Amino acid sequence: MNKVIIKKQNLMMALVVGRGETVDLETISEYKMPRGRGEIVVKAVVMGKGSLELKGMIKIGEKAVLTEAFLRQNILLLGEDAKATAVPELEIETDDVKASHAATVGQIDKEQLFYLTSRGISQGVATKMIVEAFLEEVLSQIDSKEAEIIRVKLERELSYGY
Amino acid sequence: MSRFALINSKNNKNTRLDQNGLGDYKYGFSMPENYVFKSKKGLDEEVVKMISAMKKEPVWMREKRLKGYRVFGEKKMPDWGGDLSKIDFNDIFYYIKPNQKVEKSWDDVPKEVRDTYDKLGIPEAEKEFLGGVKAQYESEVVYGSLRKDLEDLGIIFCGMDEAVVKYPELVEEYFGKIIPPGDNKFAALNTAVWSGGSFVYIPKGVKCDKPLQAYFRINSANMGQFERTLIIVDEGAYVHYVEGCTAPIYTTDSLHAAVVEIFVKKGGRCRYTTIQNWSTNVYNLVTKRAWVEEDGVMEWVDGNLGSKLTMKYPSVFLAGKRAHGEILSIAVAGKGQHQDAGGKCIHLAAETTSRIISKSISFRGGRSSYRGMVTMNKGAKNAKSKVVCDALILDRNSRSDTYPVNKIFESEVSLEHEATVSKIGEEQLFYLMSRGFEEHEAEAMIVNGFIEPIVKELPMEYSIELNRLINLQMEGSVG
Amino acid sequence: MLKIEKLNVSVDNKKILNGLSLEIKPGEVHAVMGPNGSGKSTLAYTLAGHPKYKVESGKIYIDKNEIQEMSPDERANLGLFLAMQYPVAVPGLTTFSFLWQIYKNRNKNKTKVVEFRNWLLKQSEVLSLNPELLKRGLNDGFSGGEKKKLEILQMIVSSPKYIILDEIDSGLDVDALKKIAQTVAKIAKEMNIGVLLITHYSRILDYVKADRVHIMREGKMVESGGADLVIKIEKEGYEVSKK
Repeated sequence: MNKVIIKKQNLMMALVVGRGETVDLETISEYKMPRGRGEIVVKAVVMGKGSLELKGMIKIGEKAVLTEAFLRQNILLLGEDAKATAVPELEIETDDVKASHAATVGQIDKEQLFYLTSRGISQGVATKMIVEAFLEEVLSQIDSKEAEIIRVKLERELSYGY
Repeated sequence: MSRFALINSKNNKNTRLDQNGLGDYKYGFSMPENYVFKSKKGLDEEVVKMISAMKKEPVWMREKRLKGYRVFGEKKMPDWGGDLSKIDFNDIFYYIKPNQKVEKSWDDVPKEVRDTYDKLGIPEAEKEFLGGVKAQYESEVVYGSLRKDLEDLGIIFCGMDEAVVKYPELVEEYFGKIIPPGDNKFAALNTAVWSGGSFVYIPKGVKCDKPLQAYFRINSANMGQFERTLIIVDEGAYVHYVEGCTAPIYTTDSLHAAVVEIFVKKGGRCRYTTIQNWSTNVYNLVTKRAWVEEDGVMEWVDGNLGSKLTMKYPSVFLAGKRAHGEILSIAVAGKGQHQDAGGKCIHLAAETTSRIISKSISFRGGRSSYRGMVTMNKGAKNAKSKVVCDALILDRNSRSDTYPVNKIFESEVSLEHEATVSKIGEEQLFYLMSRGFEEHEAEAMIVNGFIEPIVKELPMEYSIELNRLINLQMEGSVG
Repeated sequence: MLKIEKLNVSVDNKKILNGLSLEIKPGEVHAVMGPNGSGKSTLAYTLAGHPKYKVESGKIYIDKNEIQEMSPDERANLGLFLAMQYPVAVPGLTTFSFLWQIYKNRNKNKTKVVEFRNWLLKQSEVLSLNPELLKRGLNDGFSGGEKKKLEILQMIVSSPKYIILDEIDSGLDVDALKKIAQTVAKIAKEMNIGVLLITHYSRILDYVKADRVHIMREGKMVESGGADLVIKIEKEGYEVSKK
């Protein structure tokens, strides 16, 4: 299994971890100069028997005063035996900065599912709509070709069942 | 006998302290050493056997100690956390027995010991609302008085040493079950040389409405503190255990490697509150863990103010359905300090819930790190966890880290984690100062406000002591 | 007919509905009023099939189909529509594509999306719903009034046979209330829809004429009457049913 390490201050990423697939990803955001600005958002959907290792580090050095850095990891576990490890880390060596991170791991919001199905939309279609909506925040902000690739993968994975 | 050095009451003056013993650290005082004997420095099998023999322990406990000693030798030092490189295990006395017996009433306690505790404010503590006090002085339980009402309810609250002899079946059943010597090097060390600590047993359905407290302190050069606490809360029972301690400054380093094991049975509830304010030469490496059964609740309230390095991650194993765990942690790291603290919640069963709230402050070059873990095993359906870590860095030289790990092996769960790092807001500071407060007073108010959600969970005398300490630290008169 | 027979429902092991019975024929408007905690919302969500609400016993029929075991979408496809008191937001799901999906489900004819869009914009105008909202995430950042209007727009798109309005008047200003109520009354009459109107206050009944009024208390109907029952409630509050 290959680990992918991305060193960036700004990143929007949507991940579909397919059925039985393993993904190991680490993002590292380093700030060494004053007034840095950056936001990392990783949104991932993990299908049945899929496994995701997601690590995200924000390092703000002594000289990087007045920096504002954010990290968000949102993971949706969709299938049976889907697994995820989320490790958002912060190392801050100076004051006068704004840094925060958030990580959530969960399943499909039952209230959203009820709302959609109560309008006659079948569970399968409703799930697909909710998962797409979940990733949309990122997909709408990245290159449209890349977004399309991810949408196609999601469509395929959902069709296998979860 | 020749193995043991006899020391008579040589006055062990420490030139850093003035005649009141109040140096630049409010509680930085030390009593002259007039102990019966001291164990030699360093650790080997003989020392372990001697400790067991002096306590007149049954064979099974001696065996556990020896196993601990062997594992200690095999285990490596952790390669994460703080800097442990300066600890020299051979440069420590592992046992000192003061020439006191366990006393039943405050007046019977020798003046020297009483003076020590006077300065800590213990007489206030021995008041109506307290259940009983077991105070540790140099690895031994010196003072204890169990109130009759506790005894009548069937509650056992005594020193760990006493428990091994008086309640052997109970102790043997639970000792080392959640924290075996193989857990980490310091748990192994503790298993080998533990001395003192509390044993608490609350019978089924009994709710202990008064908090149980314990005090102890290190008071000898190169003295290690290895107390071992075991708390068993039987079905439907409740107890709140409180511990707080201080230690004087020494020119050589002190090691505190304690172990706390707690078992909460079905429907039981336990709250364990600690305020640690060791002086800044102490290595505070503690392993604390609770095992919670169905519908049980465990709450750790952990305040880390002192020590040179603290590595402490109170943990809760949520083993039964609907078990709930809470860890409220405060860490304050000033000059030369590193607080590496946090908590762990392991969800093993369905519908379990956990909450970790951590508030940390670093200033004057201090380093405060949150280290935590939430694990949800397969089968922990509908488990929920929320972690909130907030850190305040007060100046440019200080440092704050957050190292959370979230391992989810079950898809039908929900986990939320958030962390923020910030400094004191200029607007807030300006606002308070414009009302006539000096800068350090305003800072203290803001910092106290920052930690208030956790401080309000502490017993009152602790919250007052904590607020006062923060004020002193902001003022710069301490640390 | 929407028929509810001796329904017993619990939530989190707490019994909320106690042997509730009710019959609504196509074209009839039934108002259900009652104090807070009487179980009005529970009734609404139970009919729509929300998983949190457990039917302990009793039956629910939509036109002779027994539905209490059915999933929410199966019930919707039999012609049931619930307009919620607190509509759920799904950021990232465009309101328009959501409405299009509902329409496609309910109408297997081959309407083209462009035709649908034009028709939808006309309907939005009738409701005074800002068409810009159609481009936004579903209920994402919508005001209370906008959310309620969208519920009604969804209702129109679903062409239902029976509708449940769960306190649609709560949080609405006078103008919005009037617009929504008049639209509902008109459509219900034109399409011969059976209406279950759950409300706490009687104001909405100024615009939607009720054929029957029921007072609900402690999980069941304690009194039923004509529109004049409303006048009595206005004068004497819900205590009127205790006499």
